[in-house]
Amino acid sequence: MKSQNSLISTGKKWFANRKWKVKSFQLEVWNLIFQKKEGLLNAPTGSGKTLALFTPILLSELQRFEVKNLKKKHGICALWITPLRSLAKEIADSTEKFAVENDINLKVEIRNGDTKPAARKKQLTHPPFMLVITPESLHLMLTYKDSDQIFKDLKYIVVDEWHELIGTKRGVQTELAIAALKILSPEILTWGISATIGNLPLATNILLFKNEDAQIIRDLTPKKIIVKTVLPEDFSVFSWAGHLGNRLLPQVLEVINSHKSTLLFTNTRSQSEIWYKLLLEADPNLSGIMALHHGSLSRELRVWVENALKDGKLKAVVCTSSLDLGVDFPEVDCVVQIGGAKGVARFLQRAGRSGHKPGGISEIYFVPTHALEIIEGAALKDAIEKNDIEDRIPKVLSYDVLVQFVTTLALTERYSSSEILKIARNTHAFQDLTNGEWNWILNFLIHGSQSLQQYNEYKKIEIDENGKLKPHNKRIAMWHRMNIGTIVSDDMMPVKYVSGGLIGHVEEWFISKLKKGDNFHFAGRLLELVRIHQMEVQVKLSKGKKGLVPGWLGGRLPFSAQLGEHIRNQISAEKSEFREEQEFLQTLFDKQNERSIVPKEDELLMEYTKTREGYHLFCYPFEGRFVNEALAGLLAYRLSLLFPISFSMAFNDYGFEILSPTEINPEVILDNNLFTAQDLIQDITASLNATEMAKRKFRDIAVIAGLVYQGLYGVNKKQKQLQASTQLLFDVFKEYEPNNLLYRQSYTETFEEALEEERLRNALDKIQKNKITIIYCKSPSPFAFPILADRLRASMSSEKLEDRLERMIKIFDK
Amino acid sequence: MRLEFGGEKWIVLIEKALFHPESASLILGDLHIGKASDLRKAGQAIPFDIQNKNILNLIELIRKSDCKKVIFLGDLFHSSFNKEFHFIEQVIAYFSDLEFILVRGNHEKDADRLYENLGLKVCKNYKIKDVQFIHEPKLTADFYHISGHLHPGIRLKDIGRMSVAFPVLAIQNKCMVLPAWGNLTGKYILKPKEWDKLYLFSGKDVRELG
Repeated sequence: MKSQNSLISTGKKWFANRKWKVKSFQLEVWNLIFQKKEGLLNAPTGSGKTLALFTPILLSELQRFEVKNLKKKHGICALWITPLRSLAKEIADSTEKFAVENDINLKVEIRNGDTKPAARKKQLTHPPFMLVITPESLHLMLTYKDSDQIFKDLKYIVVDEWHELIGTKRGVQTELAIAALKILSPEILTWGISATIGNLPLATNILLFKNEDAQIIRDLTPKKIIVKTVLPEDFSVFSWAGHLGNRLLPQVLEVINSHKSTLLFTNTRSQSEIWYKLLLEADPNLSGIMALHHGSLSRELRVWVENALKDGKLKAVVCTSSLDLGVDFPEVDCVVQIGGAKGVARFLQRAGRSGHKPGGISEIYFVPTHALEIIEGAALKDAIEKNDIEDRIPKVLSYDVLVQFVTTLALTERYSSSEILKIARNTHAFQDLTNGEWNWILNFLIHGSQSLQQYNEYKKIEIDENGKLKPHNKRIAMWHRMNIGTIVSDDMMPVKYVSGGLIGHVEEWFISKLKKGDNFHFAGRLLELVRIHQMEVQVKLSKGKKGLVPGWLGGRLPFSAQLGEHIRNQISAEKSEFREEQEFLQTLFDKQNERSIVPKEDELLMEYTKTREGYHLFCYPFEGRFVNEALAGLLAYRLSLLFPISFSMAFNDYGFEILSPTEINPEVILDNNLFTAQDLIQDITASLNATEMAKRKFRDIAVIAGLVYQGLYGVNKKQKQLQASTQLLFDVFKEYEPNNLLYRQSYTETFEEALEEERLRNALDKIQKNKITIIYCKSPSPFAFPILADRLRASMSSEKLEDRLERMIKIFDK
Repeated sequence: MRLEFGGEKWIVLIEKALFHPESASLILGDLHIGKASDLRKAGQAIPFDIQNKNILNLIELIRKSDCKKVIFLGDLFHSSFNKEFHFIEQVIAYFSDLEFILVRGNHEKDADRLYENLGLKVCKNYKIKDVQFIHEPKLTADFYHISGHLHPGIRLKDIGRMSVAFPVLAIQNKCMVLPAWGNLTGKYILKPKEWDKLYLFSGKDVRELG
């Protein structure tokens, strides 16, 4: 082994050959790796983070490439785990090229869902130096009977984009894989790479669980970001009430035309389709140099767009979070965010997609979609100035992932249950797993759950005479391998041209609304539905002008607590602190003051209005849509305990509305202290929406835990339709087996993620300290309009069905 | 609730079923027995109890209605022969002095003999005087008939942008459609104005909608 100093000088020479200088953070990482220390590198993309880690790994392994060792057979030396397939190629290419340029002959190969079977096989017989892999493919490798042989020489694990993985089930999967690998090859060094998040030290502790000596290295090169809010020229031009629609189109076009290459981020796929169409109509010159990119388009189309963008061939790309991450686009010099970005970290991430050249400046334009949203521009600027970035909350005790993992290891037929338990408890996610929970999971896998014991279909594993777990039969093993992963896809139908060629996927419910010959916008084209054949939507280009835009469920994230706080501050800011956004919104604030009030920082505003639709109660806690939804449910439930009443509810990031056919006296909310945190869990569980939300969560849990299989080859249509009804399963467990861990997990996840329990408690706490002001409005205020416009509603009732039926029959009209 | 249809007197039972007093016949819409097993085969964990409940309700209803004859309007079974079929066999054996008639539905794919072995009398259509029983409703037919197949329901609007769905028995012209009887079945929401009469099952009573 050469001395550390000589290794460093070799590395510096390599860099010098490429006319690069070693940055100080890179050098720090090198030194730590030479000292066999683990850690986390906090650096943005494009800063040289890949080589910061790859170079010292290569330098440490130089003897492997000495002539006398060349004939020796080596296993895989390093794993580079990345959540993104699109990044894999760039990493593999750049690292391999770097080594080869310095006369070291090695292979870096990619292994993910796109890798061909022959290539996969060869990777096992002729192992490359490094594998760039997704968490899913890594778990798949852990099912192999000879996984102990495959990984016996493994010395390094690098987890890229750790900030993206932490807080997701793929993160838990990564934790488990690392714990399992550390048993197969105890000397492994693990490093993470992460962008800036609020809780970086915790993120480090999770990745490097139980390593007290874990280091955090930061790339401190500052990056300049310019944030601009796009405002209409004249306030009276657009209605202060509702959506801005395409009113800002001319300004957006101006932004596009004054830059080289622009990324336009929207929050939903439908919105991206609409904006693509609007931009093209407004400026036909964009045709051919503007493209669309979102997760429902075919891979081929997306790859084409990404490559064209990389080569600087595109003036503009309308996209969704599908381009949040991934390869760098050096030509992009401007980013436009359409609609609220929902979080500071997300907004910064998107801003960072522009100005990728060294010393480049990131330029981002915020385009509000309704009047009140303009204030978000001010809030984002405020948060960025104060460097207030969200935490990522790690997942713990995701039983579904553990159930899947136990089956994964059982497929090797090499592990006993106590060995697997030891691996699980060596992760942050499962360190507190109780013996009772572990026994339940084993029992669930060996016997099927309590209510399913008589059925062989649910017996997934058994224990052989040596105490090792093994799959119940070959079919279980096969199904499991095909379903590994924690990403649950929606029921999507492929859209193809009659002449062949996949365009992308749309949700089944959207297609079910269309008739033959109907037109719809998709992938930026107007398509005509020709027929639905064997679960395929066959289309041709339409000659018409108009069509529907498909809706995709999901994608409605709440804004973060951080952003909510900043928005509230900005709304109640003193005139002297006004930014251009508040100046601009003066008209709206005046109107709000005319009909109601603009709440102060420590004031909770409630508005009560009667309209043709019934009696509306609006409330504005500014806590993000999930917490607002929970607050609405809580308030409605507690009101319904006082007297029989029915409600429908709507909510957005700012506030919520409770709408009732009968009168509500808002004073009872104060009189009865309905915003108390006492009995919170009990009341939320009892309120209808906790169950509804848990049901939604359960869908993914059932798939991950292997209760329901998705994506089987050769599945007939009928079976595919059956997949949609995990709801039924949920009802079954609810009624017959309420102790089922997976069923309980759906509630835990609901409370932690969908209802954001902690945030909810904080919100209730805040409300208790706030002054509650009730305003009786003649008509809805400007704050109320965006909520009123929301058609997605939940409902709840404590009235007797007979009474409701009486009323409904009264208004029933054929 | 009583009604007249095809010159006969009928009673709409709150249990989503129809009764013909003169012949003491109990008439039931689609049950879809075996759907639970089917779901299980497709990898879904549905316990037996849900089907048991269905069968218990059936026994309860037969006993309560004091009928001499039970007419199933087709889709009694969801798929080809499976274990759950034996529940029906047991019910039939238990009420050995009653007549059980199955009007074949589109879901019954096995040979008549198989159903007959369970103790069912199988036919394509069955008649009580001038009223026929067939599985699929024919809205334009000029003969009185009672059918299932559709799983009819309606969605009632409430004030405050709310609505609730209920199963219904629907009549149009010479055609009467019963709601599905099984508890693992969905509803097909009708457009009320396309029907002459609708009987809504609230769970506690039956209501006629104008």
